[in-house]
Amino acid sequence: MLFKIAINNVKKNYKNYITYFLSVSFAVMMIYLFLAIFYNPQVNASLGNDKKFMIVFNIASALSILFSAFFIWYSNSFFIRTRKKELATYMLLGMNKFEVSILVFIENIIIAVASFAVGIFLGVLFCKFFIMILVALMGVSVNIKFRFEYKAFFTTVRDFSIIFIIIAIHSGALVYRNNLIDLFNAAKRREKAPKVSVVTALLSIISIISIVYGYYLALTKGSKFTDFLVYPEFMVLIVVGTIILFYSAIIFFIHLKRKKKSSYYKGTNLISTTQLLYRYNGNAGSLAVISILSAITLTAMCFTYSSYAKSVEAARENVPFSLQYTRGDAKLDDKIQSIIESHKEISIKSKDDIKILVVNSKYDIYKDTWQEYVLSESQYNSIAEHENNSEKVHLNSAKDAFVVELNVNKTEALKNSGVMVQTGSYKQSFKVKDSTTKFYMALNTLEETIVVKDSVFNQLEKNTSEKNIINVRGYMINNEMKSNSLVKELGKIIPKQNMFFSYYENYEGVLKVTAVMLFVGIFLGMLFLLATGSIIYFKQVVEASEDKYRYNTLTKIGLSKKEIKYAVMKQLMIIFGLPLLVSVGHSYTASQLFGQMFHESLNTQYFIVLVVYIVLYIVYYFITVKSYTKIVTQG
Amino acid sequence: MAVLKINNLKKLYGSKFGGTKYIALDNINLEVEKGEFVGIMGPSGAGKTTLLNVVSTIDKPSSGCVYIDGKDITKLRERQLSSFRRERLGFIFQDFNLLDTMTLKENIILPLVLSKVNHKIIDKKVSEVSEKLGLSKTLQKYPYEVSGGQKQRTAAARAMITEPALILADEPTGALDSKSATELLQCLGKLNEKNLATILMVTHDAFSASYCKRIIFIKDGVLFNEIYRGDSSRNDFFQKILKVLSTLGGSNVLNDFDNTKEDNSDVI
Repeated sequence: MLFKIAINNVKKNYKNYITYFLSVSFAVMMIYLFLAIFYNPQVNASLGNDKKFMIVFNIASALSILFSAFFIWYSNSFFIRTRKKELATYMLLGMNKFEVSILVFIENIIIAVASFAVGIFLGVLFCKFFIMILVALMGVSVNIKFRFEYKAFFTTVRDFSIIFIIIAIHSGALVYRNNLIDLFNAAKRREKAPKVSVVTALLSIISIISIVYGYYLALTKGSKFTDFLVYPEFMVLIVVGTIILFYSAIIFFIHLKRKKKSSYYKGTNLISTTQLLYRYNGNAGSLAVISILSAITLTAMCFTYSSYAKSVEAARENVPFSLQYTRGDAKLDDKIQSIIESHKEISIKSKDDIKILVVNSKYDIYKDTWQEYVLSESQYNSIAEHENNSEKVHLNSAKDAFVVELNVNKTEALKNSGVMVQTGSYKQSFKVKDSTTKFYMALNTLEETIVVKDSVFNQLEKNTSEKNIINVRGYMINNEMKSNSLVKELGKIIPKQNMFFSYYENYEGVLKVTAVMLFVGIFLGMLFLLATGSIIYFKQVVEASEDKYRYNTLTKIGLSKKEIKYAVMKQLMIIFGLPLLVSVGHSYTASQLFGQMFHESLNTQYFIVLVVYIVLYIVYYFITVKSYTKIVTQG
Repeated sequence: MAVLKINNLKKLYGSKFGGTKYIALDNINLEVEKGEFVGIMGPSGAGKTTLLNVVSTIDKPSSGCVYIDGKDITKLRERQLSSFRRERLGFIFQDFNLLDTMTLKENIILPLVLSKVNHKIIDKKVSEVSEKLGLSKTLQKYPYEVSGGQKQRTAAARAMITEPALILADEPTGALDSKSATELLQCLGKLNEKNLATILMVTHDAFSASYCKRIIFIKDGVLFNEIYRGDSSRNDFFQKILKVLSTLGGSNVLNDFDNTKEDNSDVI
């Protein structure tokens, strides 16, 4: 009997449930997908050496589960709120509290099972397709087989069962706890328009200062790149600023608008503004959360997309040479040279034979002595020339040195400090004129390097024993992107101790990793967008049904349907627009910060991400306007 | 010229699938002149609220014409109707229908704001109206902060701020205690006398009705009787109304609990 009523209720409330249903299904699909990829042997194989990055999919699934739990909890409390009167009627008709709780419990389970089934079905169905996209992004050609991933399935079932059971018990408890009279009066609960005081004005100023200062930090301190601490500071300032902004500055702003009679007393402005203010206290928290979530989504998507788009450049940073190995005997050199020449799809652009001295160095500003490399000025400049690095070195005297520093945070302090170089028993001191963090050969083979005048280099070399001299050969080639087979072949014949590195292989690795990030970024971003959109939608629809009588009155006084729609559009424009505006500000600043990290503007990438996001967001806006208007204009 | 003229008005209710039809209003003819204060009385289900709904353009008649200020409102379209309602009609409802999101002042000026009247004129008008209805001190308060009587006076202020051709009041005293009800009725009477406002009021209550100048009785959808106050005192008029009501059948004076029943069935 209860079961029948529950089924009927679900059918009847189909409209209320549909967005919730879709969001949950999507979340289930995503979680299955992430886990299925995590367990997929073909994807694992494709990642090769970067298998450790598979953990990203596991983390993504965990994030999705957490987020789904939050989302389901949130929307469920809404449903109970809208249905309190209906539930009270059941009790009035003689059902006891326990039966009503069970009824709600059963309804929850029905929806959970249905949305779960749909989600898993879609997940299994599209899994192959999405893995194909992922693999294509990774630039690997693998024939993906259709698989049903049992482990992923069971993990998804387990996690969602836990969430759903907790939620079902919670909503049952919500009903059980309430008295009949509370249930009946739930909708009548009066909200109050926020009051504006000096405190509001003060808080408004604080929030704006906090956000502006956060932006300032990100845009100025970020550029020097000396202090990674700027990130947490930026985050805290922005998050706190945003929350206070929505609880004060926005109210203050609406209040000021209200003071300006010529526009406030004009047409539907009065209706949308008062409605907005009346409902504002209940909305401020969600709006702040949505702003922050959207900002994170936009930033994450911009970051992953940019990383992917900039793989070509990023790979160059860690492995600047097309091909590089530590030289052995002449036989090996000849063999490698002939193999390279035999590959007609590429051609040699340049060849550098690099002589490196391994020395002990001691800087004035540090206590420890390190093993470092020494390179001659002419050698360094020649490499720079071949690698297209415009940062050439010009040393004036024999006492001058230029340092290639691996740690970004140390460059500032190095300048003008003294350094003592010791090789064998020979000692020489230098003054650091300048430094860079641009690597002249593969990072894995690199140490901090002191570049000195050629004459000084020769002097040092004389005092250095043979075992402390490293000879490295670096090639730059044309058509690097076609060097796949060459790289594979060389990889086989060059012994491990000769440390072979190629740009192409590194690029492949970077591409795979960034593809994984991009894939996860896009899907998590979509999940966030879907959920934030749905949260605003639910909230507005619930308000619409609670405020229906108000619009009814307006119709009686003589407001046409068209004007009501206009008022609703304006009011929702602020509800949707404010978080978007705020999140665009935050994420744009963050993108500038990342741009400094990439040494390049990410504006194009940011713009593309933003346009896609806004288009999807606008779809939500119009769906909400339509539902809202429909609810309030029905007789 | 008559402010309101109703010719052969008929309103039928029937199920969508044919079957028996229920005649709510049958061949009603009625004229209200400018400056009149007319009450409509009748037992539950007589068609009072239907008549008011048709006149207020919220409902459409099955046949017949309704002229307000010489304009046939049954021929107007949806968009014209809403602006007509806003500019030419004023409403006072039993449950006030004030917007709790707005202050009393904002509630009162709403029709003017919607018609995009200049805000300086709005401010002038609202102070005039609130003065008359004794609301000057409560203008900045919200509906939930004031008494029922103040709420209903606010509704009356909202109804008259546009200087409408016709003010329609549907059981305006229904939710008020007797003191507030008397105050409101005195206000309406004053508006009628001093500003020559034309008021059409539906009521159950013979006491409220005794403030009118003319009472029309409806029974089973047809006009049953009509009495004028003339020069008689309000008390005499009250006695007269009671007499007519007793001949009307279902006595309204004794069966006041009918109120609640009718209100539920009359939800639009």
